[in-house]
Amino acid sequence: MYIIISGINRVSYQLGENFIAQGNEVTFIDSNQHNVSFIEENLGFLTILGNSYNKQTLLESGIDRANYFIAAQSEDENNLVSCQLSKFINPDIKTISIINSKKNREIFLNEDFDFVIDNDEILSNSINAFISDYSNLSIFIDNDNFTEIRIITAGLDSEIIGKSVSEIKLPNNSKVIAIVSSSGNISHNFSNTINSLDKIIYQVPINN
Amino acid sequence: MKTSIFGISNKTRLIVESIENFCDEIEIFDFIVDYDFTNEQIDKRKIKINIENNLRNNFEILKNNADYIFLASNSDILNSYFYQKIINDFDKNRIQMIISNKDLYGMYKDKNYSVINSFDPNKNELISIIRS
Repeated sequence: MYIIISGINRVSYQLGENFIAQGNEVTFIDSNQHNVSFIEENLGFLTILGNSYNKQTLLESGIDRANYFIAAQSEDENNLVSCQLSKFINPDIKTISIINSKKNREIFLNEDFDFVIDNDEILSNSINAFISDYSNLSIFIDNDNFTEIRIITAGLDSEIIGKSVSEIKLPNNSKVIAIVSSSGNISHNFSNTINSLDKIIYQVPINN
Repeated sequence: MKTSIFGISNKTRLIVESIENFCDEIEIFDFIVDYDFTNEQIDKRKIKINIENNLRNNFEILKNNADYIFLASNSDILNSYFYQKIINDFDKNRIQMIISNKDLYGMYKDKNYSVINSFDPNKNELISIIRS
């Protein structure tokens, strides 16, 4: 696959490194020379210096043949326009955008954005999961199918510990995908009981 | 009648000149002070300039009691961002964003947004509506 990543930071660097290790082709776009040099020194000449909300820059990056466009900049307005322009140039591309401010979520919920990831929510819920009874986090919004992927984490003293999936109250029309243990084992046996720090991954229609 | 304008730019000057005799109040918002613009407008009682560092989180003030809104900053990206924040509960016929980049303009025109590429007061539909 060919993946274009807009914005160079710790998250996008890690992503790019993983994508390359998996055999994918990756190009980074960033307007900061220092960031571009960092990628060139560590991952190779995979960068374009410029703004991803500029059509010529996107065309130079090969947006017309790319499979995915990932908007990972720290300014939501840049991610917003970059995804819109990418989709406008290449309607077949899948766009993934990070939202830096939860307040901007609603402007990313349309056909220009295939997947939306809320940075603040993921971080705060991940921390919250350790100390609270129960956290319910949206990690992926699929605007094409009007569904989202959510993760429930059982806190250390959660009431859901010792229950099976069928005994836990989930939103209507939810479909459980997997249970991930704290050690990282993935199980599809939903009759097993939940242990502390287990994660239940499920799919649910948007607005449920 | 009140008009809100986001951004202090030469386009803002043209908008103000075109509508100040037809509005009771013109409120202009930006992130930073433009002292030349402030000095130009200082004697005009109906024009209010608001410098709001936190406008991204406080964007509602752009539409509070406004009959018309112009998004006229020099940043196409911010004009577009505020348009999309505001448009959910604001009449499309009463808002206009100015996008200078021709590729972005073409995209938003295709999406049927209320967008113009360059500002000519004599040919501007929203100015005509306000003047009428």
